[in-house]
Amino acid sequence: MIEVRISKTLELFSLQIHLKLSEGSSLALVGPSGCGKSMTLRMIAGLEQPDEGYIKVGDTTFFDSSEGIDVSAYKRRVGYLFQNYALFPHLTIEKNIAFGLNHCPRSEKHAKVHSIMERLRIKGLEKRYPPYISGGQQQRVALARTLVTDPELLLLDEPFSALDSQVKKKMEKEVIDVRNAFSGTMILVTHSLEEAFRLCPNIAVMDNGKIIQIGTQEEIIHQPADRTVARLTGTENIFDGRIIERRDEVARIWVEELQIKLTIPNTLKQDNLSWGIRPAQLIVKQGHCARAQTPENCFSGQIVQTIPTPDGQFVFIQLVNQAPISNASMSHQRRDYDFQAYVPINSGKRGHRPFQLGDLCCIIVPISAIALWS
Amino acid sequence: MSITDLMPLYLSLRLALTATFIGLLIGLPIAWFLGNTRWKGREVLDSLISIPMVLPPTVLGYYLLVILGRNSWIGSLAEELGAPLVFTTRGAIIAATVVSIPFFIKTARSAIEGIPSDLLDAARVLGRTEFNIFFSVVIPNAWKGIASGLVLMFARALGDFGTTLMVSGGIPGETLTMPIAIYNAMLAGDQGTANRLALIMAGTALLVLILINVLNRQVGRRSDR
Repeated sequence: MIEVRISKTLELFSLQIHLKLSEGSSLALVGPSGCGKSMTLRMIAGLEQPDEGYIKVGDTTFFDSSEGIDVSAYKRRVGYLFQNYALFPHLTIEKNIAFGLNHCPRSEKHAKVHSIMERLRIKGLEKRYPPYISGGQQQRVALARTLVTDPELLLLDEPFSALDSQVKKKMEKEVIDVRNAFSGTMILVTHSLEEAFRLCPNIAVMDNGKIIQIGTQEEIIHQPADRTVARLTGTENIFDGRIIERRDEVARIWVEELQIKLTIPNTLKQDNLSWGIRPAQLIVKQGHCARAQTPENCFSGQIVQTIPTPDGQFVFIQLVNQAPISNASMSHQRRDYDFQAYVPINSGKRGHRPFQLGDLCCIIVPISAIALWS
Repeated sequence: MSITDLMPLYLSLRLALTATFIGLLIGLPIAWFLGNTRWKGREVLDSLISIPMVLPPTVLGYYLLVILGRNSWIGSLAEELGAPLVFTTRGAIIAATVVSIPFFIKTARSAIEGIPSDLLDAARVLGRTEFNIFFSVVIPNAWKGIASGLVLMFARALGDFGTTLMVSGGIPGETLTMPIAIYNAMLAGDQGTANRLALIMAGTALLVLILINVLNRQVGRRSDR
């Protein structure tokens, strides 16, 4: 069990972290840059001192301000992977990897270094120097240097941010392999939700020095604690609504901003709530909504902007309201689009063409994909 | 070249080398401390150490004379131990060290500060103590800056005139260094000797500059790659 409860006053905000992890689990700390996630890792590793609180890993107390305990970083022996790898430029790859094995006998050191090099497929680089190997190799050497010390706790600080995207995909797969072979606990710090999803089943969303929500991937996406979490995790379409009718499974809400009625899951007791949906979850079809067989949550709209991506396109849709907007000031406040949707390229039938500016479309908000919070 | 020319040169080299060695022993830990600490008073300490760089050498020499002289407790203690400080080679070494050590500390400090903090952090989490890190990471990555600081310090110590003269006079064979010998030769109207000694000093200075440039260029090349 790893338990962290620390606070520290920083220049821009105060950091207050409370974390509990069971042994062998892995957690991703996700948040915008400068939210204090790296600082949290540094405090766990002993590179930075919290103002108050405690850090306990297993039976060992690393830090406890009430008892005056502060174990030095060199005695904590946690694994730490730095953002830019922090390889020693004056040492060969072999010596870099052996750096943490200072107290091992020579033969044991040699065996350990070579077995980890084999495992991470960096054999042959023994006598090279860090500046002369590729970014992916540097990353692997850094990982080897950390793993060779058999840490109980592995801390990864934005480990992939310096790699180009192709190498990154390969390395992520490798880290998953390592993860599966590694029995210890892992904490990953990243600003990318995708990265967090790939590597960790549990995710903590951080902002302004605080953890807003900890949960499984599913919980973070479908039951965000508040608007900030929804926003940080990529729910681009966020609106407020008021319940006007409750049935068994579903409820109807009035969305003032869009002037629409929407059917949502009947899971929250509050009458005033917020809802959101991710761009990729919206279903967008060409043409008008066929009035006769209109499914629930189906609205007519017009494309006001498109952004192409390799696998599809982002479309920005403005709803075409039949009813004129009652409140004049409302229309003034509205953004220049209502929904942002992601449409994969091979969606729909044969003869599918990408959306163009000005196209009329039919937009469906699937009930099961709606995230709700109060 | 006569023996009287070489004696001041030998003395100057000996004094400057000794001062540089003392500077290394005292200055490197100070540079390391200044380069690593987050202590708020570090800039004040740095300024105190840098005072000899801006103080006129004679003023510095005057204060050293006050501190080391017979009437101060340091001076009287040294006297009792049978090793008087003023007007001796020891005094000249102290003067040369005080005058030149800021050059070393400043250069070494910036070399140490130039080491990415991640490297030091990596060494810490890999189980190395601060003392160990100093030798296994700091020195190997900052040695060129440290070396060029030593060369600068050596050059400054070699060329000191005012402070050495104030503290230790110009006793032939004991404290008569090159710059003082040049001054004496000029006063005595011996232009030939002054000319020769000045040439030797100028040559040494040029050599020092070349050495520093070579060191700096290698540092630059290293960060390029």
